[in-house]
Amino acid sequence: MRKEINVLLIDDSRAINNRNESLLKSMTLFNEINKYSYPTEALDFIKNETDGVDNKLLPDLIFLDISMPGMDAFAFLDKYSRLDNVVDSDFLPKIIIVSDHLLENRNLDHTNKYKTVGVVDHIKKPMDKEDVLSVLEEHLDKY
Amino acid sequence: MTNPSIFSKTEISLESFKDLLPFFFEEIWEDFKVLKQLDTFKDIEEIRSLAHKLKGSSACYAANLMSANAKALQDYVESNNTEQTEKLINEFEKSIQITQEYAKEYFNI
Repeated sequence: MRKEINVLLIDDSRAINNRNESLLKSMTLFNEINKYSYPTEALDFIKNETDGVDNKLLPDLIFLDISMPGMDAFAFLDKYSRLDNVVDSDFLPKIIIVSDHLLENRNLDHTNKYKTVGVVDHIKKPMDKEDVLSVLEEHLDKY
Repeated sequence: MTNPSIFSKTEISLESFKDLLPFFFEEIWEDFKVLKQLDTFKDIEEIRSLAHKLKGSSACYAANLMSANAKALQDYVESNNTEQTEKLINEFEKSIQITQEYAKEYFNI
């Protein structure tokens, strides 16, 4: 049986989040899809969900925009990696960096640094169904 | 069939696309107002960052004309130029207007 997959979308553009949510919903593979335009709110969501008794909303996948004002993907990952419930528990969603060009050189080094907290891949904007299916097949065990 | 110089084919369904377009334009205009304000101070990094965002969100909605104009602005300020930013911002504004008018007519939104 296919696992119900929860997704977290993080992008400073509400329009992009809406569009990506619509794309994912059309694929009928996902359970909960949560979206945040402010990375700090996404961190609060993750912290609150993993502090709670019922963790049904915990994301299995996080699509994280690389370039956001105030807190870019790397600043987010720094704070994320310090959350108690990431360091101490089995909670480790797969994190996919989303950028408008494929990462190379320096930025790839940056994402490699965060492999231990779940960064597994990067895809190019705009997200498409092929990208999503490729991520699922490659990185999600029970898909 | 849409005019590909304005909109190209999108991955999401037409029905979803039509529902989301009003919110897309709402955000674009909000960001555009900020862009105009930033230009009065010639804050290169902030203009670049916002042009980059506008380019990306336009591309995600397959709004090619807007994305191309946002990219032109981003590329220009990345060369540390500011003299022509007002002109490029005005061109971007025109591209939003053209795209929105087209969307109203073609998608009946």
